[in-house]
Amino acid sequence: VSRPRPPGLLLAALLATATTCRDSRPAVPDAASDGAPPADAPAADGAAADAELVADTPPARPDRQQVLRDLVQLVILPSYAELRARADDLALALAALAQTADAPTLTAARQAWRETRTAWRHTAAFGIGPADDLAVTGGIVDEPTNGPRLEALLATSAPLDATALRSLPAQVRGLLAVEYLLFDPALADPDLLLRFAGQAGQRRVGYLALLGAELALKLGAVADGWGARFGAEVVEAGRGSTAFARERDAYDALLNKSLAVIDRTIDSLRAAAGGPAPSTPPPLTLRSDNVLADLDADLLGFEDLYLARRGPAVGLAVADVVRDMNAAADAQMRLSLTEARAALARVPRPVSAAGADNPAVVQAITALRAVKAALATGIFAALGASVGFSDNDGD
Amino acid sequence: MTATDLRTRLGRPIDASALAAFRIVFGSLLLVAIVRYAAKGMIAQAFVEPRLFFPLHDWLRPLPAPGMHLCFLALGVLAVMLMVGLRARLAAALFCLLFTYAHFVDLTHYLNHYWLVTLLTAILAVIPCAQVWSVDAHLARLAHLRRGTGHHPPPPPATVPVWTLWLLRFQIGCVYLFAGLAKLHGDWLVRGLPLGIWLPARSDAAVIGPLLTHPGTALVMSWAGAAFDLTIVGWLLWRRSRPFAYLAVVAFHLATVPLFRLGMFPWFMMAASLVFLPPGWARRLVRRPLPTALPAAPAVRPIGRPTALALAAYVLVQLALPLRHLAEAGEVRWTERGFRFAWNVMLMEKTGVAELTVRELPSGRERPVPLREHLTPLQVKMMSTQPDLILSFARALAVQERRQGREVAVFADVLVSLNGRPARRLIDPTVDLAARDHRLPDGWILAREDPPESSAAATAAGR
Repeated sequence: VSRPRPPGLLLAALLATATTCRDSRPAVPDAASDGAPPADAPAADGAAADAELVADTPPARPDRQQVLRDLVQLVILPSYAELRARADDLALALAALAQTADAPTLTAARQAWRETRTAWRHTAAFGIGPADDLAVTGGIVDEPTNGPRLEALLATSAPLDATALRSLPAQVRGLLAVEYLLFDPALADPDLLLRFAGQAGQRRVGYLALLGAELALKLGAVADGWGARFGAEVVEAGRGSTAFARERDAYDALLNKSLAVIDRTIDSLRAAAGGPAPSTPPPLTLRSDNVLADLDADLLGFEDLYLARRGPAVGLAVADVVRDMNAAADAQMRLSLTEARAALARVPRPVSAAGADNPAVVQAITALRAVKAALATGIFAALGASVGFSDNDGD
Repeated sequence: MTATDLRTRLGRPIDASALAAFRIVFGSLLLVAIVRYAAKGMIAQAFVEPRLFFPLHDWLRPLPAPGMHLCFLALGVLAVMLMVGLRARLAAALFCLLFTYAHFVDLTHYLNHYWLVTLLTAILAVIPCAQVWSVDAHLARLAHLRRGTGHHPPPPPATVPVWTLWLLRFQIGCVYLFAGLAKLHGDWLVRGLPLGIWLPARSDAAVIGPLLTHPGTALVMSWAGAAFDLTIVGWLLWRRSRPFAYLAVVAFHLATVPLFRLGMFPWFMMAASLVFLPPGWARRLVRRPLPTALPAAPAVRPIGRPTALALAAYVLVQLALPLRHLAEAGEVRWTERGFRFAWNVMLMEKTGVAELTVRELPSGRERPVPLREHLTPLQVKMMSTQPDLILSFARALAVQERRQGREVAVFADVLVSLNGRPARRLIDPTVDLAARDHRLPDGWILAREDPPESSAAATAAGR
């Protein structure tokens, strides 16, 4: 039955049609895609022509499996590919430093380390599955370094090779051990380079090269794990996945991981600024003054997860599901993310000198808490997700 | 009808097989539940891993390892005893005590069906549930036959007074009725919440997945669920509709199994609703007539006054408990004062984030409390939306600090979202919770005040 419709309804119909077109696109751009719409996407004219028809039916809800698929293919897999590439670059840069320890190779190694660090922290919000399975998250990569123990190790003549490295505790290997050796705020670069000279220096840079190769191997394995199996497990959650019996379990896992990461950013900023720290301190890159970059990468990673966005590529996102359920919660999440990243950018460097009472630090912590609140209340509630894992039954 | 008439009616004998069948099925489910709980590692999760607990009363503490594992082992053995009818009433009583103890050690694990188990085992401990189809009855019969009637008390009759069955019916009826009454509010009936949040999250369900995401499904299911809860007891009691009603019970609870994580709850309710069937249903099912060789059933006589008074008191308590929230200030789903033990089943989607701060006295130095260092993820989750648990944690923190020679004040900044609404403060963040009594709301729980737009937002969730 056709009858005149007010302009507002027509506009709503057009929007609904746009949503329908977007939700029902059949193919997901692959990891290498530039985000251009699929060739077989319905034309805009067709969408307009269908507007009258769609107005009589409620808009389709975002396909939650498509959200997971886009997240994996547009965000997670490319992020891990990026991490693998940066880890390989770091391994090469550290090998070059081992060959010739001078200012250019030191600078290149530091730059490669920062880029790897950023790429690693960018994956934190979705660091489930292989990252946990390979015991990478809490150890190997991110364990705070025990400087005296590392120095003691380097002072011995015990053979250091890949096998020996793997038997060492996480406190003396991983990205923070590399940071420890590459950065020292108490030393000028020429003085630091002197540590890489002579026989003891050779052992030092040799160890760095070993660390670089080991990290490339480990982080590559995480990327492989996602690409080979775990990505499909997430996409097929509730539809035959062995890792996630229900679709909701995948959402739970990803969002709880994100919540833990946001929690860590709050603890990290507070601790880095000299405030109280939890009894298990978060990994802080104070020597390289990379703390704020780490935290920004954490937030950016979560933002990309939430928006299914990586560079120009944008997919059907968790944000779309949330907006469909509760537009206010989505708006709050986006606003709090923007404000938190802006607040972080205003924190003076080095953060360790700013002090926990510094207004910019206080504001940033407040902004991060707002992100946490928006996630733990609005987003979890909109998605019917569980805050915190539990096998407990409910009734 | 006089009180004596009523007592006489309640004393009318009926076939004991109905209670026996309930005992067997219920005992079997208890055994499955205990084994399942242990197999999933939940004993350690609930009683060994936590550093702090949220007991119903301060004096309740979990047993030191391996005490709680032994407790559950004992529960398993008692469930078997109940099932086979070996010292059945004693087994039910001990099960009730141990299970209730375990349940009340940490209220973050509170579930409605745990409370139901407590009540049903308590009832089984006082009613003659093992008159037939039990080891007890079998042994008594053997002894009687072996020694002759003059040397041994006669075996128990194959009948029980009707009040025993009606007490169970009343208890199960309470669950449905109060669960239905609790659904009579705008979120459930107008906005279709929280089903409007939960059902789309199950879009992966085979066949019905797309239907669950349909905007109208949640509202239809909300109304259907409320109607079911409010009327099913009547349908079960009416002879003509009883078979269909029981099929509806089975269908309803089976439907919830794949949709929600309800554990044993649907199975308990399907089993428990068997008490609404006619007393002889189980005997007819197994085609075993009432034994004629046994002594005749006792003549009808009124139940004793003490029994009648105890029954009346129990009924009144069970009617008052779910309604006690009416005497409390504030909305029960928000304050959760009077929420437990009241059959508020599947009633809300509540998420929260709690941040606690310790202020040292008199220096005024403040430090945030890292919740995960004190609590398990489940405890954090459950505490973050329940004011009494937050208060309990704050007081525990103060005690810990005092042991280390520090006087502290404890403050909580808690944001909670109810059924998808924008988050609101649950607790006054300026109140020192360590100095408050959890029994008194006393102003530290804030009222939920929604801005005008929030209802629209919440409606969007249900669409």
